[in-house]
Amino acid sequence: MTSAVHDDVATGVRRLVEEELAVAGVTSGDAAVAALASLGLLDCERPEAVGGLGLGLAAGIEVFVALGRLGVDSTPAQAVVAALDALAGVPDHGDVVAALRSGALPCAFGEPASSDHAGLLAGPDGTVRLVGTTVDESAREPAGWHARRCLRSAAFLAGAADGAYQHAVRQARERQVGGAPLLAKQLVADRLVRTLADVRVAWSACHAAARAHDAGRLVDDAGPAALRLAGATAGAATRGLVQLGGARALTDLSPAWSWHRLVQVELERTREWR
Amino acid sequence: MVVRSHLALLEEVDLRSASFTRDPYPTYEILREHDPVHHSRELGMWLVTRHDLVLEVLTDGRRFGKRWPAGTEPAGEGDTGAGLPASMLETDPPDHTRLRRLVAPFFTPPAVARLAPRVEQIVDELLADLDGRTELDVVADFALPLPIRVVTDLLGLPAADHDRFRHWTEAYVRSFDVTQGPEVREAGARAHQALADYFEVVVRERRATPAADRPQDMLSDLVGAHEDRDVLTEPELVSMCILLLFAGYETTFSMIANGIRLLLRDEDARRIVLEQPDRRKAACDEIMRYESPVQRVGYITQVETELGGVALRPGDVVLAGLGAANRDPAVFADPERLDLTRNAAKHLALGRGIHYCIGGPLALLEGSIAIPAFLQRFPALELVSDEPAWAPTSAHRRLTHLPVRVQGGVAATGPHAEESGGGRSGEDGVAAEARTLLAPFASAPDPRDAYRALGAARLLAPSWPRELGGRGLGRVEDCQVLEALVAADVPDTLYVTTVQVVGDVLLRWGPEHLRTRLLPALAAGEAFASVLFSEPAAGSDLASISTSGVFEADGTVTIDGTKCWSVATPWATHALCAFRDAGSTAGRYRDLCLAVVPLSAPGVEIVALPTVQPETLHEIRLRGVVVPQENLVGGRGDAWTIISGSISSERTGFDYLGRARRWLDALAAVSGPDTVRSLEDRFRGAQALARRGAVLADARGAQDTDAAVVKLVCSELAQDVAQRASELVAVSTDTPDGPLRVLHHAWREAPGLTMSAGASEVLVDLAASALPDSALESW
Repeated sequence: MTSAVHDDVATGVRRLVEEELAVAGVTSGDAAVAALASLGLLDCERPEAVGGLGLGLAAGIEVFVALGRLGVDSTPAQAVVAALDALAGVPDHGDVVAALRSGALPCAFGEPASSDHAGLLAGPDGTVRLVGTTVDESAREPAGWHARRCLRSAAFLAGAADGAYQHAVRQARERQVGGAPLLAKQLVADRLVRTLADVRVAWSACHAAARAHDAGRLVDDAGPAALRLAGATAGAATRGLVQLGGARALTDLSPAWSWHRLVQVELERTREWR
Repeated sequence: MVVRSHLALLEEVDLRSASFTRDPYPTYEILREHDPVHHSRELGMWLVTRHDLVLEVLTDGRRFGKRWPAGTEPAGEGDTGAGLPASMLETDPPDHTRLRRLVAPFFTPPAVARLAPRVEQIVDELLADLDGRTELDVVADFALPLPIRVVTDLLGLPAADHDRFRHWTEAYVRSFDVTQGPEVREAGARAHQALADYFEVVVRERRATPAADRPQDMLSDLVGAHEDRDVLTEPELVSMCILLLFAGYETTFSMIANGIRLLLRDEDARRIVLEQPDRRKAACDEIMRYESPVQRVGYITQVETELGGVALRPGDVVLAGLGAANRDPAVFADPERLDLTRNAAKHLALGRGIHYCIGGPLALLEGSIAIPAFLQRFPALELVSDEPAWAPTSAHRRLTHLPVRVQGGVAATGPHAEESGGGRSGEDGVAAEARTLLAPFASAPDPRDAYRALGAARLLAPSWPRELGGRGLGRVEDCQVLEALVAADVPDTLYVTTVQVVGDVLLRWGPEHLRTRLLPALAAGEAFASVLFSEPAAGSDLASISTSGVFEADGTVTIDGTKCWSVATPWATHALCAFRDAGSTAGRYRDLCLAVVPLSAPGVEIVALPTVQPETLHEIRLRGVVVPQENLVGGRGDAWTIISGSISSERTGFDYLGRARRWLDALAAVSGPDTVRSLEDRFRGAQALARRGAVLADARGAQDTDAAVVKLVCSELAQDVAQRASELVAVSTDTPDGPLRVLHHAWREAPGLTMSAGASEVLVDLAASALPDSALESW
């Protein structure tokens, strides 16, 4: 594979994750890590020179777009990928890398480490540490590490926004009001078109920033900016889904509830990153 | 590798995608390894990528041929579109054998060797014309003219017709690509018809000359074969001439241009070509292996058979992937590396079997002379960009241009700009070049000099073909120019109407005389066009148009009516006018016609209408305006179809992005960057969206919903920025200076920002009518 990531590969990664996880019935973040490990995708971004698949960030973020579209928590997978990313600058820890890549060493951001759980700490001084395992020395944050983790989260939120949009469109087509589908109401259609536009804007911002990264031209603020956009979009898309679903959407009888919760958790988790 | 195997199995390979066109080789690698006889659901065809299997297709005439087995022929097949029989490229024995024998003597190794002095002479002449140049386009200035001159010499055709040949054959060859849309196929059919008309005249003239007085060239010999030996019908003769013309240079020029590009990037390889004359032909073989000019060739399965474990039925179309086979590691060690020391004789770039390229030896001769001669004449050249400008087809590895400069010289032309990330970073190539050219014209109230400066650099309409004054690039580059115009505060509406509306319509539907005469003038900034669609009582509702045209018996049409809301019309020389055919009762939509009206014609009156905006609108009164019927665009009654099909071309969003950028900068200067952060975020997103839209439109044509969404986002962003300006800046009738003046303009422009080519409500309605199930699935 050449170093230039191209759209076909990125789209292929997204479809691969969606199809495999759907077939496997994956619904939890931990199960997603295991499934991604079996596909070899936890270490797909990093260059082949350090043992990754070398697909680059533009393809790598599609893993998280897929998780978002599926409505599966991506926090564990983001932690593992971010840890692998951090270890690109730390030599001589092949055993840790292998454990992370295989999904055998779960990670958590900013959580106390235990003997079977590595903690990934990103310090305000630009250091990243893996604690609770064999790597405990401080390592300087690899260039662009923060921007990349922002983009993974942004991609997840853009995917979640698309998942919410898909549910909303389906509901607006199926639900009848006064003998006509809800979608026939102009104000409903207006809201959905604007959600469609916002989701595309959010994803395009992620994609463009990831491509710029792969071409060596990532602007420092592009990752957080994409995260701000995607966060706002996902928040609005899931709120819109809840409103469209009516009272039922306020309960766990409706998928709208879980979309809303999924997005709110991610927004809270990444509040400081933006 | 797990991922790759899944990708190959799950991913529908999109032969139309821009990324595949840019770099098909990673996909080939996956397919060769996991799915070497790949079924494209989209095309309904099989793509073969492994060398041994491609070789089977090329050489087993019993199983794979060029004609449809009985009962399998799709509707509409059977002739070449110009009423001509199939050329030898498209026939099987015995016709193929008979036709090939007629021209084979001209391409034997001794016959080709005798052409070497003439090829060297043409190369010297072309290089002499380039003396003193510090920047040039290898494609237009060297690689393309050489084989055209050689093949027209061989055929005995006049040099004055070179440009026409190039234009016709480019359009014709591009239509061979099965992934192209109807627009390209129609353009190809038109070009083929033009070639057929041309050669019918040439053959008639040659036949009128007594045999003894005819020049000694291939055409005379073929005419003799028709007249004396009765082995070639006249339609076959015309068909053969067309084949020899395009086959004579298409592959060769790509090999030369690709070769020069590769060697300018690889000093070791360059040294081999310059220092080892005996390796030059082998080097051309390796160049053709590495970047095969023809990437795939279509064959038709003749019998029930199996290929690579896949069952094929008669009539199944098989695309023999020459470019993929030539990178097969089972045949070529380290195939992704250009290695001029290797023996690349097993490459399939020229085909194999009975359809092996008959002009292959001539192509190798031309390449082996031209490439080293060029590099010797220009020993210190460098590429302007590493990003090659591939033509928008994955069927050919064809550069539209290859700008180079003498090291230390001045930059020549711009490359394909990358789709880039946030902010304004990463813009280069065309965007940077346009900004430089426009700098002297910043804030000029009359944009025409700025347009002329762009036109002189072929940058006013960079997506148009070179022969029409463009650079043969894509919509992305057009949009970058538009963005640069707005950023420089040069009025852009005349650009939008001239290039994006009228130019686009003429490119796709215009009659030949307007395409060949008016389009180059528009591209050069020597003529300008406006749009006359809206009317006082109809607004932009085409169905309510009342302007009428009477088709007269003398070949003219007389137009009467009033148009309004027209922009930039006083600067325009021509207008695209919609009117109702007075003699038709076909219906409100089917009565509508389009014609190009010279605005200097008697009976045209332009009246300014004051507005709240900086820009003036106009009412155009047409009183008995007479235009020739040949100025009709499309046929009578085609206007609705044409306007509906072209309106998305205008909805790129880049005009709004340019405004938003300028106003955001001014806002940040006045009130500090923190006050506009959320707008900056939206700008990044909108810019990424518009660029993605342009890339997709280049790859698959502008889609109504996509274009509506892009314009909705970008125009409302610009409106919100303008609104923020009005909140932060005291509005005054006095025009302030600096950033305040810019913001004052923003405030004045705000009311009209979502109106052109559809207000927000219209765009939402349009998008809602075809709401996709997923926002991202086709994006």
